[in-house]
Amino acid sequence: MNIQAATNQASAAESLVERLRAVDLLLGGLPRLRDIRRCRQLGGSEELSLRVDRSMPFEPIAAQLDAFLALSDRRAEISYSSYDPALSESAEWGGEADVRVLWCDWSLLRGNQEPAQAAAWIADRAQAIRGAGPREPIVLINDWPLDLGVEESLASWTVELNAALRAQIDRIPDVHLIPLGELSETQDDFFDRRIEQAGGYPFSARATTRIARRIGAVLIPGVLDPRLKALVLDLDDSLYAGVLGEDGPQGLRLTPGHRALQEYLVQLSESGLLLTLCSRNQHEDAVRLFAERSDFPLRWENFTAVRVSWQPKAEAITEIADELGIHPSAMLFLDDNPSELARAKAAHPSLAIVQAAVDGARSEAMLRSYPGITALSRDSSASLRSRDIRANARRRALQEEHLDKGVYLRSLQMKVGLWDNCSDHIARVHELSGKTNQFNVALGRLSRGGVERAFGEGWQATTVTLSDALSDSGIVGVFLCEVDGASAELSETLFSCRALGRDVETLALRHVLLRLQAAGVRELSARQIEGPRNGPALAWVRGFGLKPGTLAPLHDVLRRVTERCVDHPATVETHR
Amino acid sequence: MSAPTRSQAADLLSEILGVPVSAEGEFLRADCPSWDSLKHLEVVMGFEDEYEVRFSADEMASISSLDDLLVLLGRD
Repeated sequence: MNIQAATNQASAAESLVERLRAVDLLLGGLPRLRDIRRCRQLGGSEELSLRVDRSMPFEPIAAQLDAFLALSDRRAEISYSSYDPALSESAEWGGEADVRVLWCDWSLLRGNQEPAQAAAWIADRAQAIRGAGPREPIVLINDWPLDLGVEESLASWTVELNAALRAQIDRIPDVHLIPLGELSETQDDFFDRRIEQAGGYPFSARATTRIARRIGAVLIPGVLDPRLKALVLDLDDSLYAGVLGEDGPQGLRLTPGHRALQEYLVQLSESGLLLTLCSRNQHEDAVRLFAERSDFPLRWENFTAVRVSWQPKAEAITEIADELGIHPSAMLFLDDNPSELARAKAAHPSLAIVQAAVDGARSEAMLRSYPGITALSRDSSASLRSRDIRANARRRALQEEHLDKGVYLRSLQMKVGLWDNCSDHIARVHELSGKTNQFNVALGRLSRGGVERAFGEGWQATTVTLSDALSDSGIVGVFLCEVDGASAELSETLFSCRALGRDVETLALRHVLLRLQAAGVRELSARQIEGPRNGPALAWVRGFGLKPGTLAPLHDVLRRVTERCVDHPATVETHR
Repeated sequence: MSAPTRSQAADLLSEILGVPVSAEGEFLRADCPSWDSLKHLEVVMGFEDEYEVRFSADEMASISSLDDLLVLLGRD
């Protein structure tokens, strides 16, 4: 190895260690301010514009925010309104921001307004912001901490306000809560009267850190990035204390911290994250471990893919990604061994990594605040997806058994549902737009509001459901097409990777084209953005004559699509 | 935690305020435009965290220089 290569390798190793340490310091417990200042120097490369309309200072939080944003490689450029209890500048501000924050000192309204009225007022402000410009920003609104130092009627006002705010925010797309009420539940010293007296800012240093962490590590990555899809979990000294090969199943210790970690992992699994195992052990020992240790909250059935063997973990992770049909950038690897993490990271640079702590509770805390772990909205298809991914292993076996693709497709007994402008599917389409990285032609990453518009006047929105003899895949695809007289643009084309390999996307596109033809459309274009992983999707759409930036005669496209799927064996049901 | 040296306190103040702070001579809040009332909160929080102390409201209000911080931290 030459000196330059050795230097590069040493620098990569140093940066990996710094990153692991930053995750541990910032997320494992409540970090000291000196640690936050140190981690802030790691720096994020992507600038995020944040606009804060406020009736109290946000600056102490802003001072810590970049340390947490750096975990998703961001840094914030923040602009502020003047102090105004009515937040009246919020709708008038003419700039553009990725994220707008309505930062409200609710104690100013306490006792003057009914909680429901106050919540409705700020919801109106959020709606006005979202409707004001061409770009609909994400909006974050704070609720209020539970304050034990005030009289009971004021405390109950806060409880009612927080419930009313949550209800209001749940109704508005792309508006999320900064849950000060929830953060204050586990901290006695959330308020600091000395600080308030000195600077009009009511929260303690510890509370400030918790708020900055929630905004910077959880909320902002949670609303701007696709959620992670799978966790890759080591066994020994990660999910329990001890070494399976040496201590045997009964000798392993499920400490209270490891129990909490395992319980949290089960919750994550229920919320739609896939759990997988990657351990250097004997496979049969791992099976026996979960069979014998009925006290473990995690069960063998919780793991969608398992690689327990002596193969290198980087290879095992490649196999897990292939088996699940997801990219390593949508996976997080938890392991107590930094050299395993380093080798996995070298093989998969976009893989997220967390070093499991000796104390399982610390690992749990790191995962709880790690960017991309928390689901900010309900994942409507979590259990369907997990079952479907398991069924994919059996599909692959069938495919190997039937070398003829037609025979294989017929053996699946597929049922394809094609739904036109079905507004019940809006939430799932929003999810798909945010999460789909591979079969995503336009990479539009639509806001909830953008999806709602595409289900309205002037659009053809078709969603695709799929089931076969092995599983029900639910809603797997969507085509959003904007129609303008005789021309139309396919502005969003998305398919879940789980559904690929069965030509359902082509069959569904034919349906969309027939609908457009019936509506008088004669020419079609397809919005296409090149991304890191959507090459096959672009090749697919271009194979039908839909080149970037050009209008193609609809009948030509339809002819090519029909040729491709004329013998497709699926039973098709259309729903209007 | 033991009281900081003048140089350590100057470094911390500089890090928080984002301006150079010399350990030599006086450093006054009145002469530093970035040391406004909100930065003052960060200064208080930063020194409390670093040296594991808690200032009273009156002490917080009395801090107007590097020397004041050193006095409160037990190093005059």
